[in-house]
Amino acid sequence: MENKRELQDLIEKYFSGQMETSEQKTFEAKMATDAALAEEYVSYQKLMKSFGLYASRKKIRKKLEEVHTGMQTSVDSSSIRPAKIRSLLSDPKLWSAAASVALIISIGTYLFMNYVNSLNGNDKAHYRELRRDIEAVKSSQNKIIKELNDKPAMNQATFGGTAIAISADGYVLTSYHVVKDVESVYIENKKFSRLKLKKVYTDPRLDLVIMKVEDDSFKTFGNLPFTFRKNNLDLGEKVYTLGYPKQDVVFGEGYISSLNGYEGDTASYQIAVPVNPGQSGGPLFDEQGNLVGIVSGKHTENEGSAFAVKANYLKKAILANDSLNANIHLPKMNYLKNQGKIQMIKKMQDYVFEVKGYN
Amino acid sequence: MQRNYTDKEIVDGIRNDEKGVLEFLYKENFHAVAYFIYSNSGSEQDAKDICQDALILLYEKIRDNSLELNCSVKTYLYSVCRRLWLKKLYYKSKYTGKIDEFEDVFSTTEQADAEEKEKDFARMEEAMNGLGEPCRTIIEDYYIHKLTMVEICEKFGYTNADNAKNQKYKCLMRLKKIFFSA
Repeated sequence: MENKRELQDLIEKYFSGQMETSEQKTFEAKMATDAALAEEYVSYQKLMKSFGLYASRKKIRKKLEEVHTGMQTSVDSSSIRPAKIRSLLSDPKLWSAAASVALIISIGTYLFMNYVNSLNGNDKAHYRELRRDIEAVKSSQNKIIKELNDKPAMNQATFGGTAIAISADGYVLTSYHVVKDVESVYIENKKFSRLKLKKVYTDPRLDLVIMKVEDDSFKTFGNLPFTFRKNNLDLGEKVYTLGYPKQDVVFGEGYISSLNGYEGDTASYQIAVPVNPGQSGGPLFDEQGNLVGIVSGKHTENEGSAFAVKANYLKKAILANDSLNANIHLPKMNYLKNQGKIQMIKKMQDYVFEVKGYN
Repeated sequence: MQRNYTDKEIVDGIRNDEKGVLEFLYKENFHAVAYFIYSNSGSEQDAKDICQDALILLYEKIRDNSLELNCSVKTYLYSVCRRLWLKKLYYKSKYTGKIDEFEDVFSTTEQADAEEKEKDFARMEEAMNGLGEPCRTIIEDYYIHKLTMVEICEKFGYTNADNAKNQKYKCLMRLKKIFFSA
């Protein structure tokens, strides 16, 4: 580590031209013989070239942003008769009158909204999380079984959901509410059978939890065939889900019905995809097989509208949590792009898991 | 009062990083561009973005001596903005005409070059956005704002400059990794 850092210092010193001539010569000689160093240097050069471009553009943009704010422009409808508008607003009395009206309105709105919120009691009145209460479904079955042979059912999962693998080395993503009050979490699917997980990072705000497989038998998920989609989705784009509302994987298809989620939540999409309890944490894919979101809940009143946390928020949360450790290697290549839907789903299934939580 | 620049003064001014030139250009051209964009289903935000993009393009072209100007700077900027906006509309599939009709300002090599740069920038921007704190600020402070290691050490409350240096090294390695893996 120390050694590498010193080499990096040398590279930077040479790059910025701060070396003495003799030192420069030694460094050049070293580069001529040490291919690894030369390669390091070339990649540093490349990095700095892009970084220079980035820095200069950011600087100009910031400067122009200031200019723009200074201009206080507005050429749209209001500027059709700019002279008149200016003469009105230049009257200080009018200004103070306008300001006090604005103040009263804003205080009024604030109080009113508080009142409305207190009436509501619960902000998420029409939002339902899609955790599956296996207990409830099972208890009636249990009764029957019990009556049949009077044997207690074996160790049963209390909560269920869906999870998706996000890195070859065993990181898995699901909804926070699926695992929030369980003690141990397992995931299961056909290919990898049953794996034990531990929580690594939780983000209740995004309803997100990152977990890692901790199972002696586990080595790797292998190369994940999909990537996180980089740009935002457009209204009406086709999307797919895979999830475990029952013990077998279930496929769902629909489209993006709104770019914001429950009550205007900008971190999620509203989707018109049939979803049921147990599908929380399930992946949402676009037609190219890019991961575009994680299913989190549905509207209780509006039939057919569900919500999914946007992939770029997920990615941000993952990377921000990972600032210095650099442990989570997100997939980089999309191998599903031109494979057709059936093939895509077949491949994807291996990386979607049923989550089972036990108290 | 704002001073006026001739085209030659503008080019020379940008080349020498003279203060006020970009500001002048922006103020001088924004309204015309904005008017074009408003009348083609754009917002003020769009107008601002496009105008800034065009100025950045002009700036970079002047700085690396690749600008071939055969009209006034004003006309040049306007046609660049027009082109950028039509292209954007095209990708949003709102504009169905041919962009080729407006190719007069750029040759194909220039376009390829600009796209290459755009990609480069986007990649770095993404890498920087993905870097997380405190890395992002450390890298920006060191490489853009040119703070010394001692200053960074004080700003972030590291126990000594060597610690800060180590942190900066880790951050740079992380940036490198994200950048080259994207």
